[in-house]
Amino acid sequence: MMHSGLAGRLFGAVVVAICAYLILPTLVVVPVSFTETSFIVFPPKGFSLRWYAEFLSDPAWRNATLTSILVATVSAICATSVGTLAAFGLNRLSGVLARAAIWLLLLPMLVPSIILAVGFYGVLARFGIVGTKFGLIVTHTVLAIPFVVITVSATIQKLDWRIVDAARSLGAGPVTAFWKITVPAILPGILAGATFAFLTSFDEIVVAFFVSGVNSVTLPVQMWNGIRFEISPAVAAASSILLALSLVVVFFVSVMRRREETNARRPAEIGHL
Amino acid sequence: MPYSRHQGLVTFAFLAPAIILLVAVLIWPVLDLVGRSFQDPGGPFVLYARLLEVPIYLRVLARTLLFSVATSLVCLVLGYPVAYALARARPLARAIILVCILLPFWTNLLVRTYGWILILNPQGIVNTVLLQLGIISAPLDIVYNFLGALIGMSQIMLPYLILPVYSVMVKLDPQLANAARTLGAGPVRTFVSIYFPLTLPGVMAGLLLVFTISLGFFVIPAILGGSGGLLLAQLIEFNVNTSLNWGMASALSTTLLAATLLLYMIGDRWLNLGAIWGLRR
Amino acid sequence: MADETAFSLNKREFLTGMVAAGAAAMVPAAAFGADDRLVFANYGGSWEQAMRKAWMDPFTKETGIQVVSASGNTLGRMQAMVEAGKVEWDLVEGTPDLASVGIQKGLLEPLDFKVIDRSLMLDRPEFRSDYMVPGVILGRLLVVNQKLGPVPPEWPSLFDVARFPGKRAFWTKADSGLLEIALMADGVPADKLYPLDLPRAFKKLDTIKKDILWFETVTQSEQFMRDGQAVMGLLADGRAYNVKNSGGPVEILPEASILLWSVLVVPKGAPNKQAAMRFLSYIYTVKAQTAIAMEYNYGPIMQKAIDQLPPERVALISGGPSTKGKGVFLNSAWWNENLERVTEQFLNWRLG
Repeated sequence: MMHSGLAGRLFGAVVVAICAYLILPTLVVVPVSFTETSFIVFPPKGFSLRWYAEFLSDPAWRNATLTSILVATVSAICATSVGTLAAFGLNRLSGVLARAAIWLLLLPMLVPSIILAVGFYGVLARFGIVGTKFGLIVTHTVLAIPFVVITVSATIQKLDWRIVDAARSLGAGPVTAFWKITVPAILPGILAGATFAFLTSFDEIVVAFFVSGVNSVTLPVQMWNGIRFEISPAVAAASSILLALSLVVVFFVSVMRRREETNARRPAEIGHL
Repeated sequence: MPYSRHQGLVTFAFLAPAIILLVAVLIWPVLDLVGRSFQDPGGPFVLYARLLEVPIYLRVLARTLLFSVATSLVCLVLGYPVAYALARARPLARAIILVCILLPFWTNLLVRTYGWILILNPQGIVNTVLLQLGIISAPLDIVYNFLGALIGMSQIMLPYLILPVYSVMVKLDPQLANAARTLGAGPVRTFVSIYFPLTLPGVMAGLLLVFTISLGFFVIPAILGGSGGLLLAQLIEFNVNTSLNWGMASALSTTLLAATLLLYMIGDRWLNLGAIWGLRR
Repeated sequence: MADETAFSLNKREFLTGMVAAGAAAMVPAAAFGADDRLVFANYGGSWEQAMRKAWMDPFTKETGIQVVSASGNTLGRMQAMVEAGKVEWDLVEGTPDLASVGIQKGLLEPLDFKVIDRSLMLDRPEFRSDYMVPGVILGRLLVVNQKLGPVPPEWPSLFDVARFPGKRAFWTKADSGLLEIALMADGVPADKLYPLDLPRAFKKLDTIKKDILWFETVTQSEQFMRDGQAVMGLLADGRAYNVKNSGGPVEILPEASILLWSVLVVPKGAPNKQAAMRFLSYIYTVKAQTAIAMEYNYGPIMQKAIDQLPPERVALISGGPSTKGKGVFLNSAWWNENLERVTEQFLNWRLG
């Protein structure tokens, strides 16, 4: 497993190739967004910023972007909190109870989303929150819980409980030990789960399509409106702007990290994208 | 750990928020779903009889399972090395790899799918480049078939495998492998008997995520796969949105759910999937 | 529920966000009680823009009623709304099954024909219903790549792989008109199509099966024709003209077309149904029908409107003189009865 010589280079080349595979369909979208044509074409014809102007000047796009960021952030926070706690609870259970709890927690992932969408509509209507952002947050929280439970459980499993016990025996209360020792130790899992939770909501279309109302249109719903009927390069422009924004965030974070180079190396990048 | 009443209460307190939320919002629709599949006026099993009778349904179910398994395996093969590189790379390289993994999420799924068409179609980027270089003499058939659906779907699902594996690998002591090698184990043996087993919880978590999410997808495989990308969720969607046949949609969903549970139980028996949650057999 | 979770975690900063988000969301969409607003669920895109220009904006000017467009105009969602007793839409546009299934399941309000005057409407028996009015005539047209040279504008051309080699682009839906086309190409007269002879249709389609390029979304159909991945295709009229007008290398053969129509319905329990009736009454005037035909190539449902159009416009209109006599109307009553069964067989044939 050492990275030296030919084997190491070969391994590096493989990783680069896979990364290219991951990012290629996204990168193709960027040049497409500058096309002069009213349809998506590669290579793009001419150069024009009209699709950016359309994206930025249209309040529908702006509102949808803000709605998506709000809904995704709040539901990621809720799902991460609820899911992390549940993962701890799960870790303390055994036997039939544990298996029953696992199935309950995984259910949102196992039921096809089109079925959930219709079911959710009925539930939200009963609580009178259908068509609201709050309703969207509730459903997206539920959808994201399994992602958090799975990723956090995987790290809890690797957690060395002796350090927690050590902290307790040195006089830390259970809450202090949890926040100061346990949570930092499983942070990679929590951050991976939170990322999935955020992105689940941010990219979710089927449920959002059903339960979003005129006042709570999310970005995927707005994009789908554009795509189903005709794929306007405005959608490519929207994607490119989001890409640029996230790259700025990444850059900012890495500059900040360089400043505090000496700090403990926490794999915290996941949460920053 | 000695088990007391107090401990039980703590466990319950940990699980309570999730359980309350799921029961309030999710359980009712799911029970309703299973119930509806047995409520045809003709009798409780009419819909299931039809499902067995009309050839299309079981065929598509089989294809759906096959497609999800294939996607999971491709993701494992491609994702594991990336997760390893991520866990061992220097900060800059790690940041770059993470960007590659997470950046695609900012692009809407459908837009990415159209991106794939631009890349893979007979006049697309891949074929143009390969033809120009003289590597191939006729365009490759890499889209609008099973392969095209697999290429697109695996790209979407890869992060769901990489991140859980990474979050386990990053906790492993890098000295471990070195120690094994100092003791005389070759690199392959070190990997197979020491490193890989230790990352198994992450691998299982990742495979589980990829497999189950793939089961419910339909738009992307349908666009990139032509007839080769016809999956069960598409038939469910047809019944919900076009023919309003809720009974059939429920029966199909219940079947998909049951098939998933069954596969999980088999997997649990042979592969100890429960290890993800630290369950022992 | 979600609030409790935030409390139990004692994360104050998250709680603040939650409360703010919850409060914002609690302002109900239904705060507009009076009929000064109308939510119209439609297909969106450039068609929505055309309707806005020809119908919605003039209507608002005349009545003061705002028209808000909503997306996701599917039958499933309408059913969910009606059954939950919380209907957000006042008017819904869709394909004929929206009306036929909607009537069957009791999801629709009867329309007020004291307000809506349909005396000028094209006289087809399937257009007369208490619960719906036709919106526009839609066509699915034969589109061919220019490099094929002149192609006879008739269905057998689609099956002549020897003379016109290359891929054919068809929709994945069973009721796209493909089965009807196969039968007509095989010699079945247009007025003897229904009930469809499925084995015969599939047998005819078998002859070009390996040459078919299936599209799942209409966007994809444009892409196929524009970059020549397919040399022939059956495209929705708006899509076909989109490809042609944006410089795509295609010819449209409107003499070979399948016709259908959109419907407009009011879901049961619609909050502003009076406004919906007034809107329908507005668009059922010769003026409004002419206006929409100038904006978009869908066919108006009034002959008087077609008569008032300039000739170069008429040539592009679905159901207009260029398709008349040759365009074949899909039998929506038969499809409504058989859609599920035929879809099963169609998919099975595709996979076979």
